[in-house]
Amino acid sequence: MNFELKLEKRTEKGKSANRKLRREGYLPAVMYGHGEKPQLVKVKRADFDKLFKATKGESVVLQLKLGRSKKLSIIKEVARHPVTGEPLHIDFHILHKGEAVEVAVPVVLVGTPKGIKLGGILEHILREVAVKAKPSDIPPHVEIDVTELEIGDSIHVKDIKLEGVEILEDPEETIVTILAPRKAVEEVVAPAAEEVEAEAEAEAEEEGEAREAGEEGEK
Amino acid sequence: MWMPKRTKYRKQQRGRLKGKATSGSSLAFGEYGLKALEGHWITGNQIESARIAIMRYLKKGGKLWIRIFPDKPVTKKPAETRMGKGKGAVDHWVAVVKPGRILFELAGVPEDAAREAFRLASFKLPIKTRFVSIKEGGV
Repeated sequence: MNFELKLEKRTEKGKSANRKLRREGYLPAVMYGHGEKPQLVKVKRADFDKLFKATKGESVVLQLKLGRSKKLSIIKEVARHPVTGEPLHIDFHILHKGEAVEVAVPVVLVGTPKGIKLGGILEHILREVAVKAKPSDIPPHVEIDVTELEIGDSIHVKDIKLEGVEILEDPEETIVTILAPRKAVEEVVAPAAEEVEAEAEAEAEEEGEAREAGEEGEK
Repeated sequence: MWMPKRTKYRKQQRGRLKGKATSGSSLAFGEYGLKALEGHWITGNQIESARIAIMRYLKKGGKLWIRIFPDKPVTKKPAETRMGKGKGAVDHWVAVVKPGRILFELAGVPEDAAREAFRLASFKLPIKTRFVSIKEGGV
């Protein structure tokens, strides 16, 4: 399926100009690629929403129309508002026919694993796979059949078979695994706490003295 | 009780809570998440209450990630104490949460179960929250 997006040139840049653009129903964007000069563009918000809905966030090759010129591209990044999740800015990566590019392709799981029926928990660890491929070979997504997975089984990057595509991930990396059934699993992901601990270790000697003084004070 | 095992300094200044979450604002582990829509200090007890509410509802199955940790000490002076005589003792610990921050993530459960678990958890928190899903971009 061919996807087309009409772009317009923009000259203004910066925070206030971009805010004005968004109020007018446009999204600021930039297009760049190998041997291309980065170019500031804008795209109609409604057009982009329609395209995003149609592609379902997959890595599809787009046909960008800017004036009379047409260029092949992929959506490299969509910057979103941290609270509302609305798109704020788009990066288009221009592709050249026959030239391989690095792209992140989403991983789609197909089927219900056997292990799930026995009470296991499906954990989808790697949701995107970095691949290197020519524009014509870029897969919109990587499909993985998980129906045969039992409890404790997993699928690794090395198990993916794609033609004309080089996978850049570590072959031993786990994509999906079925965890054993038990009470709900919890995990604390606390970057702040780790930082605090790391700092503390680095300053262990100084801290020792300070803590002793503190304990005396509290007593 | 939720608090760091060791800290470099015993007490901290309050600081200002302004701006939006620049990191930790999109789903990183699970399929569903609970996003903060307001800025607030979330205490260790509040995080624990919300966690218990989620775990009680899910009973079995599912995996939960807690994306915030109370690493900021809050001090309090004893009751009926005159002002002065230095900063009070550490009373509790809080996580500084800015709008947009993902608080919890869940995987391995159906969407309606995740929605209900997060709805129950949100009653334990002092802020407005929103349910986010990986299907809608995870932001």
